[in-house]
Amino acid sequence: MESTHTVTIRYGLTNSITRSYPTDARVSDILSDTSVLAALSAPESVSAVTNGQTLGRDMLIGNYDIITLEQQASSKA
Amino acid sequence: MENNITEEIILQPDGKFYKRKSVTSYLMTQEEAIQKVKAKPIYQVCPMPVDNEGNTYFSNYAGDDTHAFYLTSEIGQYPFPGAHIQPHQDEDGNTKYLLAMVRPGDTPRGDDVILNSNLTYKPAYQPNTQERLFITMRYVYDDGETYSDDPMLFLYDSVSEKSYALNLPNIYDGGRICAGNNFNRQQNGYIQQAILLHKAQIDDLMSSLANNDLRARDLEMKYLTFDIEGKHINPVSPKDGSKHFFQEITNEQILMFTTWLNNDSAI
Repeated sequence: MESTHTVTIRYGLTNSITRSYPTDARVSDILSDTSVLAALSAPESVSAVTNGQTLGRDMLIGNYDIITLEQQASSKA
Repeated sequence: MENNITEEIILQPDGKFYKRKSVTSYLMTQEEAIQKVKAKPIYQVCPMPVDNEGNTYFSNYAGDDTHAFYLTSEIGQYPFPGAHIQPHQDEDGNTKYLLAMVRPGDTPRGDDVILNSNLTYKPAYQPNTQERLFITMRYVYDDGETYSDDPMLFLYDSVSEKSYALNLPNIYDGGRICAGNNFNRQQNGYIQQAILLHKAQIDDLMSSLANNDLRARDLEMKYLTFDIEGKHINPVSPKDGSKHFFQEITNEQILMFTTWLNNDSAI
């Protein structure tokens, strides 16, 4: 049986979703998961952050229980 | 331990027998579970009496080994130093005064501009009574040097119990303040110097000349107009405002700080 890791993904103060991923899943798997982004009403231009550190796309998510998606905002709409 | 399905027959209070199935699957060892709890950083906030106003908070992720921490200061209002005001007609024909910024030494265009030297109040965004404005910055110390990230402005609303980035002049989407190239982001030394750096940065933000960058004048007509004396006259609450002006915060640290505020820890 494939081993999984459960992670809670947050966007904003009230939007969160808990999903199980294979333990070898990476941050990019979350950032490209359109169903997660849609469920959280998050845009595609987000970065993954946990404990104040921005996670690289290649990092394994198995080390984290909660990941916050932050809007990348270097401009102005 | 492999997945294990067990069945048992139980007698319920209704006098009937029921069959109950349970599945037991392996998660982790006891040692792994304890280590995981120990290794998980916990966000903590501590008010710091850096001056007699007592409006600055230290926070960090305890257990984090990145040497990072945050200093967050409450400000009563967000000023636009050096700004003049100029009358404009809204869609209903009402006269409203908007910010009119010019480069240092330049003369404002238009005869109807009211110079800041003639204003009773320094033009500023004024929050409502149930709202609080904060500027927060992340600091990292490394080998005797302290570095700061860009400052961020956010509004905490105790009614909705949420924090918002405000779509104001010189503020990027998400709340990052356009602080300019001369904004000091580095200081020799450790925590005491970091606090001095933070205080100097706040003073800089409160006094540096505002400019016309990152303006959304259509939103300013709704949320940032002034009376003839320079007083902000239309502070709207987030529940009555647009999501384009009151942008819900997604920054992790500000979300954690907001949760802390919601727990009545600081009010």
